[in-house]
Amino acid sequence: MKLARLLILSLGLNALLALVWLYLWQQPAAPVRPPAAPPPRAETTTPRQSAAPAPSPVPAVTPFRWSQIESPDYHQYIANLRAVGCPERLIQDIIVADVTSLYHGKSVKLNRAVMAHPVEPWVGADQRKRMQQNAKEQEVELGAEERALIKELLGIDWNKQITDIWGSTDTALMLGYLPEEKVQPLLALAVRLDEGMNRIQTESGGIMIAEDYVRMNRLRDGLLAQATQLLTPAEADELEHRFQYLMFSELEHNHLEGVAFSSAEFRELVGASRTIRDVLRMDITELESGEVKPEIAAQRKAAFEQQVAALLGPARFADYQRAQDAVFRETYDFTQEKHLTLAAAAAVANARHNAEEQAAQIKADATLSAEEQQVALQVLVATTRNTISGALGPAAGEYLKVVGPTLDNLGKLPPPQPKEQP
Amino acid sequence: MRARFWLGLSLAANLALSWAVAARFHPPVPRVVPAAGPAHRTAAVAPPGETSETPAPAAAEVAQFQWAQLVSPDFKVYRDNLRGIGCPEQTVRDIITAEINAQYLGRRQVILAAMQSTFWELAAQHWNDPQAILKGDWAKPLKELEQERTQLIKEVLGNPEVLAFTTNSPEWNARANYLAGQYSWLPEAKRQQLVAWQQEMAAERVALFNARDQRADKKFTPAEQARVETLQEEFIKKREQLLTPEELAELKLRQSPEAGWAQNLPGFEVTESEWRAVAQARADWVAAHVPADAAQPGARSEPAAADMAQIIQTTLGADRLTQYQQASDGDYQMTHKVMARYGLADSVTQEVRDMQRVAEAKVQQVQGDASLTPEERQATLATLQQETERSLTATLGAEVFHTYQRYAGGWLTHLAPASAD
Repeated sequence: MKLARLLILSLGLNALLALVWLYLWQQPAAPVRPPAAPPPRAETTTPRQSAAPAPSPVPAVTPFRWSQIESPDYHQYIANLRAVGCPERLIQDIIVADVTSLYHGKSVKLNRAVMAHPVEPWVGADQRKRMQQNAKEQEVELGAEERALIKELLGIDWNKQITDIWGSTDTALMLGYLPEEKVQPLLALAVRLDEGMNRIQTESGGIMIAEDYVRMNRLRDGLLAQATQLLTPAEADELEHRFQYLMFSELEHNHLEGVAFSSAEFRELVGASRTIRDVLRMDITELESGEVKPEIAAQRKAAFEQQVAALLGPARFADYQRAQDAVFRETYDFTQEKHLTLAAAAAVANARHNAEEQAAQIKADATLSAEEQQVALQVLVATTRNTISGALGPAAGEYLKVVGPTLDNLGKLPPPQPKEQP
Repeated sequence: MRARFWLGLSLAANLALSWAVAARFHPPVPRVVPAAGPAHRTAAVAPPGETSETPAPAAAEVAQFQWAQLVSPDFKVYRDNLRGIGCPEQTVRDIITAEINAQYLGRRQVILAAMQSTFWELAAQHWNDPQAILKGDWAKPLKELEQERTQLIKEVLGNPEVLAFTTNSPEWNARANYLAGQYSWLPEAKRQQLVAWQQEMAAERVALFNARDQRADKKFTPAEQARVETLQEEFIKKREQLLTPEELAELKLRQSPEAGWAQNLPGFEVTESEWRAVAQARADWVAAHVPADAAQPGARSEPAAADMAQIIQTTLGADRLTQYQQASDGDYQMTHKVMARYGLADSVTQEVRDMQRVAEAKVQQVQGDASLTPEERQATLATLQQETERSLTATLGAEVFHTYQRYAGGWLTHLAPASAD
């Protein structure tokens, strides 16, 4: 009785299992199917050691092999990597490396084709130049094709240069405030700008004319507009300030020696210096040919100084103006080196300027004889030396070794003019 | 007894059916579509879906596999796992390098983020020297991190700087083609022989340098050093035995510095016979004037412009000499480039050069005129300069003159130098 019940249960289970099996059998199985024939390979590049043998009967359960992921079709390769749970970031790296390798092979093949046609020694410069240009154009086309393929496969603006640039410490310093996902597209734009500028220069044959500068400005403005769209207004503003900072001290020889300012004020000064020359938006003609009319340059400098005055206030603006004076800067550098005070530098610079003014007055004073002028000048030089010594203390000797001859010249009268012959 | 038999049979069927159901009812296997063989992928991307519609051959069961099974915090284990499933060595390198980079990128971001809050403080401190920031203390951890990353890649993947120069590699084939081009004028058999010898020599050289670079001291052993030094000599000896005296003479001419005499002269194309005549004449000049044993201080190694003019005059004639001199004249070439940029005819270049010659001749005249006071001389030269600039502007137009002045008009400023008095 017990056996009969067990038998019925078992038969029922069999019927159920048979139904389930039948149902599952009708569903499509998880496919693992090699393509009937791989598409023709565009290139062989680095030797692939996993060269799998021709398809052979596969046992029911096989250990996993890399060849089951690889596919001659990039889309399939990516899909296979995703299917096994390969992280998206790693898929990107794998595909980029693979495409790069593919195009390296193409580049080698291109060079091979060029080299296969030897250039005889009697071929002249013009022909050689044309051949070089053709080869370069083909290389550029290959590069563009490579980037387009990566863009199509992964949706990213990849460029080897971007990776290299982002790896450098100075780029990290400049762009490190941006989120990682914004840096890559931004650098892609920078690379496009660089390539575009180079192309314009190459096409000009080394002779840049007005239309080339128009093209350069247009290219730059277009890419800047795209860059601005990538960033928030605050990020874009910071980017402009940082690039401006790189050129700040070179703009019209801007000097800040002996001026007290906070880091926030310095950032504003840098921003204001765009009045003199906006590093990111300037007319490229100015940069290339250095052609800014002196009156325009003076107007810009004056506009900048107005902003500096408003930012720093009267006392510190006076310090700023003092910093533009070469005599002060020479003295300031010396006092910094000797760990002397700013007041000492200011006193010495003042003494030197006063001496110059007074010497000019003495030399122009017609009421004094030549002898009287000479005596007055000698007294002036001695007094100035004393003032300098007082301000600089023991370091004065070293300072006077350098500026002494200039001071001594102040004390000399010009040689008498030869008398007119009757 | 019969019931026992049927029960046994039914239970066996239970087991068999359970196994069959389980076999079909496991979680979905990744839809991986492997390549039929080793390949590089096609650059032409197949339209989406094309591959998946390819008729599938008999399906094979693939053991359940997830990427996570490969990953290990120990990069050497990760590397070995990849190798273990037959991942190609280059792809192993790509993956491991990418993983190491990703790990270090995170640490780099932390350092950068800490630095960014002080960017403008550093900038204000170094207002006149942005490069000084890079030398500051903040950058040290970045440099250390980079060294650590490079070291780890070397440890896991070996030295990436080992040169690859193996038979039939792209580099090998490219060089073989280049060499074949260099010897294209030789009979096929000799060309192939020379290429083969040079390739063997290059492969041996690369092997010797790789062996050296693998050592800690990066030095050759004495035997290696001796081998490096004799490789080229051996090749030259074999080549001398292979080629006839005429072929050796041709090779010598083609590889001599004299061979390049016509390669940098814009607008001056030569025939093969012209090239041969001048190259040989130059070689004869060098043989007659340059000591063969050693370079003496101040000794000339090639003909001067006047000697070269003589060689061209003798071998090619007066007309070709004029063309040659024009092509060798940097001022002429630059003027020509400016005019060509604006699509102007060669005759305009000639006209501008004539104006230059006339103006310079007048300057000579004025400079030598003893009847003029210094002030009068300066004034005359200034007028001459202004007149020349006006004439050039009239001939070229303002824009072309502006460009000409920038690239080729340096001589204009020398017409009336400010220091002339």
